[in-house]
Amino acid sequence: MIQQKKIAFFIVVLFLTACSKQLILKQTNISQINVAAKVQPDQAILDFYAPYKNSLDSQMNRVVGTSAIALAKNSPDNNLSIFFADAVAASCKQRNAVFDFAFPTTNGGIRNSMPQGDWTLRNIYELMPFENECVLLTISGKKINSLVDFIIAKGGQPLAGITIQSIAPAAAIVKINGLAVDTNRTFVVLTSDYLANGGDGIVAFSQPINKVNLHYKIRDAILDYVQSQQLIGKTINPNIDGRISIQQ
Amino acid sequence: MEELASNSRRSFIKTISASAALLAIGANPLAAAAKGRITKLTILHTNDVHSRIDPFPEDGSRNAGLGGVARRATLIKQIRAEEEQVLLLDAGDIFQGTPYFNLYGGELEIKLMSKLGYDAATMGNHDFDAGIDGFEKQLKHANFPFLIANYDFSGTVLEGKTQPFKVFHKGALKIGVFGLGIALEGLVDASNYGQIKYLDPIPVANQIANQLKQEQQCDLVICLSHLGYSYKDNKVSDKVLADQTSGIDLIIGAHTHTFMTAPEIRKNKQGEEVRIFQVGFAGINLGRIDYYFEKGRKKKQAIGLAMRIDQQLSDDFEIA
Repeated sequence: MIQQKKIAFFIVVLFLTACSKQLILKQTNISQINVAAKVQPDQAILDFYAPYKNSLDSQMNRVVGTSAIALAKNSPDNNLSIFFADAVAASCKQRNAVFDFAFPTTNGGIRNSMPQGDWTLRNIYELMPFENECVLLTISGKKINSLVDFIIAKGGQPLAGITIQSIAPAAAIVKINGLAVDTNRTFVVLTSDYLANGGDGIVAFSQPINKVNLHYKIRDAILDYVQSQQLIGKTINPNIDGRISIQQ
Repeated sequence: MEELASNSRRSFIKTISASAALLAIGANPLAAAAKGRITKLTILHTNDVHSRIDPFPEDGSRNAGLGGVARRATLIKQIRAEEEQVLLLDAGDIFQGTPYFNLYGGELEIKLMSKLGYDAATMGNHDFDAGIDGFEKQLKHANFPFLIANYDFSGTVLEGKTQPFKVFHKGALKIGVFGLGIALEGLVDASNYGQIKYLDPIPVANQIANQLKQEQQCDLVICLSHLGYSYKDNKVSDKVLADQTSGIDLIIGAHTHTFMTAPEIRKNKQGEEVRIFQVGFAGINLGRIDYYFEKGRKKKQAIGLAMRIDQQLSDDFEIA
């Protein structure tokens, strides 16, 4: 009995942890391998896709034009955006489309830079891989402000026929074909079906007064312009002309 | 007491061997793995490959000569030869960017991914560029699943043809992988995404990550995300996903074509680490993540329990 008294009984609250043999993460090493020329290509893979490549090369490697300089989008007012917008505008004018200015793509829609020298059809496809078509949108002059705000907020966009000098946040000098914007008239904008259908959320393009799809692919418009230049022996050589400047 | 001492000695030895193993990882991970203490898992990943099957041409441009699926195949083959447990994943935008897509509709991209042995991919916005039908048409060429948890494909041709997640068994490891897609409205032409319903990725991710971690007892949960790394506005991104969820260990990102020099480590809503990694675009880089797991005891769940014990019992009882 005494012995029993000596035994201490405790009522304790124990956090009993159910344990199991498990694999515990001890270390994580994250790296990346540059897939560069020093890596030997896998011959079986090359062989597998050779028929696709050969057929593609035979269609895509033809030279369609020549550029005096390399084009890249590296600033708001860049030669690649200028080339893109001017080319689409010129080809649509050639097809008798009537519009005030062109905003044929956002910067995000320009998918590759363009090299100096010969341009192949492949280059045109990689610049503009999408199947988007040219669209004419008639919008109220009152919407130009909102459109300009969007363009400035995105750090510039490919434009032709409109100049934007942003001098301070929310203040810009805008001219369409050299004239100050008359908000009482309407304007016809050459753009893409993607942007006209709400792509990239351009509010100024929603509920337009009129919308006409030219059923003319933007890529074809660029290609036609490049080929027309080649035909008259001219090289592509866009000038950075200050059509857009953004005060940071 | 003797029992206790031997216990202590054992745990001391265990600690030593664990540290030694970790040291060994630094010096020679293969040796440590070979001795069986360490289980290694290698995750290889790409994002936004955008139909870049050939390397960029040598034309003086920024990415001249980089990438190429045949070189990627060589690297993957080498790593598979060296490592026992490898998972190869892609975070979407497989399609669009070179004439391979315009001419063959994505067939070659999917066939090559199957040949390279991709284990899973999620969908990016450009994977809808030939419409839902255009994507569905190429699914028959895939020998890997498309994982996407926050698109409701009900009533479309993709209904039942993707899955929200997959659990991979690699050796003793269970790895849960799920996919998240970006909001389609304003990004993909409505005619191309049709009746697909986009669901808020945060609650979906919380539900699935916890299902994978708790119910399925996955050792690792990976999210293939096409949400994008980060935005100036409050649009949901990988950073937001990491912060507002729990249960995800790794987010393999895409969409923003972000070249990250190092993974971003963030804290989830329970204060646990989440890693975000993205490797640019066009297959210029192959991401590689090596996980080292050690066999041991792990807290699974804590149960509050009242019980009567004596001193001897409490000495013997190990609380881990």
